[in-house]
Amino acid sequence: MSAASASCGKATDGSTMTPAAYERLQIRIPLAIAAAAAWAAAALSHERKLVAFCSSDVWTAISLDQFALAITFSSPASLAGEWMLMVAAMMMPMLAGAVGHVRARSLPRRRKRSLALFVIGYCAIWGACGIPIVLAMLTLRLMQLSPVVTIALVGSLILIWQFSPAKQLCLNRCHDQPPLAAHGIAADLAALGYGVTQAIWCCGTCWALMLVPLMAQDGHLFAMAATSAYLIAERLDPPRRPAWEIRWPSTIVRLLWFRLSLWRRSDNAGRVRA
Amino acid sequence: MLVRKNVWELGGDWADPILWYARAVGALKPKPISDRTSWRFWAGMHGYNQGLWEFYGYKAAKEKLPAKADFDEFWQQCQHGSWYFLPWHRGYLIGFEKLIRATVVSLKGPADWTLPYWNYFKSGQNGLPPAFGSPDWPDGKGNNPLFVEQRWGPDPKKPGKVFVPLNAVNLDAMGIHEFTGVASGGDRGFGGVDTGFEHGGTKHGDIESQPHDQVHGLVGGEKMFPKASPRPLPGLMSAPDTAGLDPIFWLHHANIDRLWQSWRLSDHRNTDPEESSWKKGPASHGKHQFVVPLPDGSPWVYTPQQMSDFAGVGYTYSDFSPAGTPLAAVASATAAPSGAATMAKSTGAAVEVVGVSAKALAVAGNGAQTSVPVEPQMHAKVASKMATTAAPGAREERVFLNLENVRGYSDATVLQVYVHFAGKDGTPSAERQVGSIGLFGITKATETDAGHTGGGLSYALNITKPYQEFAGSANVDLANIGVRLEAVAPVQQSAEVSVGRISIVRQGD
Repeated sequence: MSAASASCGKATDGSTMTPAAYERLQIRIPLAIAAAAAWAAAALSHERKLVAFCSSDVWTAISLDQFALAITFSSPASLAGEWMLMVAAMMMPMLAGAVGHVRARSLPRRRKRSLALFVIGYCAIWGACGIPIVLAMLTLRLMQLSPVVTIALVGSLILIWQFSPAKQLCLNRCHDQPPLAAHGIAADLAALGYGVTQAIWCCGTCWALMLVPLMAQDGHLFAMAATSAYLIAERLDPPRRPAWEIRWPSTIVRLLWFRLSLWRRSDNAGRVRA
Repeated sequence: MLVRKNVWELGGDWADPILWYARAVGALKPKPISDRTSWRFWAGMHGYNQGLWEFYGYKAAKEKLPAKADFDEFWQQCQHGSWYFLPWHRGYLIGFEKLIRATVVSLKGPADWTLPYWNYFKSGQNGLPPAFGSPDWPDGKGNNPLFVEQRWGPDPKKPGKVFVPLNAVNLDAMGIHEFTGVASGGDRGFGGVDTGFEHGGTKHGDIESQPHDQVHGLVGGEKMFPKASPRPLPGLMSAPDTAGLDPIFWLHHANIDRLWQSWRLSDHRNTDPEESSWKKGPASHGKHQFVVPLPDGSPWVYTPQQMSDFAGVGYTYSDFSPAGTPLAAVASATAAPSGAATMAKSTGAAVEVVGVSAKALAVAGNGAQTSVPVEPQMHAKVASKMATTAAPGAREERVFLNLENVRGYSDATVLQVYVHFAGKDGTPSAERQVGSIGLFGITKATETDAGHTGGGLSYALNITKPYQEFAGSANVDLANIGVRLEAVAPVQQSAEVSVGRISIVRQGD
């Protein structure tokens, strides 16, 4: 048999999507729609009481009296609502792997129930995580430090966490896909528990960077978008050994470089043809 | 055109190509580990584990590894659990063959030297080629570079007796017509799953799962070193981090590479992916590009698209028949396509769980067994679909046994997998073997501190045939399907091998 006859043929159905990519899309589309809705709600909201509390809008310190006055006009429920909206907008795009895992590992009749329990567990932890984050920001403002000192303090905290082994450990565990029970109460607990643990690793990964949009009132949406993009880029990197080290999302940089070089090549090719 | 030949049919145990291979390996082994053309540098490109390399004497404690730039560019590239498995290893083999050939030529050998392949499926050829099993050169003098002490074989009672037990391997993957499949429990495809951005490397494709993984573990074996570790240590071939150190590794992978081309030749439906993300390789995802050094040390970057063009790779094989039977018999499948199966393309839309085992299963000693409760409604759905012929364009109903989150510290372990149907009302029970799994790479997939999530490996075995055999039977208990894992060699308790979850899934329309 000649080697020439070995050359491969074209795909017979013209499909450009692999079965696995199709599976991923089935998860990503509803998540993208939900995330878009959360972003729209955040953009259209005029309240922003949470951000007003946390951000200094260049760090004007507030007194306890001012704080007491402000809190009377904002219910904890509305603050929590804003927080969860922010979490939903920023975190949902990163949940495809975990949601896909729950869906694939559940009996068809229990899929919706398991996904709902996963989301409940996930949101419960993020909701709880919001309390210390917001309180910490408020404490900083009540300390009436100068804006420069406050920004330096928060910035240092973010950098230390970003480069710590603990952050990498959390990031690694975000990719966890543990065995899930499928029958009865065990299945419910497994889905709920997976939501809880995913949220714990997710909070560990994201809490420090979440301070960035909380700090910015005027450019809040932009800060949210930029932080969200950075968090997604971080997740694209493969897991690595936790250690103290300066890290940045290298996969996205290489990806952009690759795309750019392809575009340059096609651009040049176009010129030659012209 | 250079031709890679069957190692058992070269004309003698120490035929010229083997002799020259041994001489070249002997010349490369003493080179510094940091030399891009050294034996150990090439092994490190597949994988590296400091502890094992030093324990087995392949690296001195004070010896310096390649410089960081070289380490990052070339080392630890091997692609497993991904649809890049086949093309990465093809380029790796091409680069290696060039290095050996250049070394052979420098030793005044033939300029057309090629890498032989080991077709363990061919009758009478499942034993280790003799030149690899002897510590001596053909003249009786020691230090044969092809001999490796840490190659213990499948039977721990007879360490060093190396062969591939044919009941533990099969060529079922050759009957799969899609290169890539799904990650959700259905068929993964001949070449592996499109790993996209979420490349976990825990789900091996069909040809990687069988026979690739098994042959690694069966040839390498494992051994207890009580003073060094409470766990068994793998033979060189048994673990990805040491496999490239064993000269037989390259002959095994030449066979896997041959099977890839054999698969493409055997049926017109068997084509490589057309997706740009496959053709351009992981670099298109922002990941590491495929690169190996040429004999002059300069880097050679290659893509899956280049590797897919077999006419352009510069070599061929003396025989493409998977198991030694004439390929013409298989090639009859290239007749004009007809019916549903031709165009069927599994999308993953219809992968559904049918039943799931209640708890994790520990595997020790000779194996383990459990049962999988099956959902009555799901079973009824599967049985009904199996009872009717698939409509034109529809996908045929298939059933898979999933062994998920398999964890532990025994890369050499190979487990035969059986499904068991319990008889009712005095009818005898029935058991069917549905394949085997090889735990190649399990240690890395279990550890949590080395850049892995620790979730273990997952396997999907096609059990459509036995399921169909009993789906409509009133004489067996289909509410619980037994699963039995039988170890080819006893599994040490200290290896902590376990299966996190066992499930049965259906795939179809």
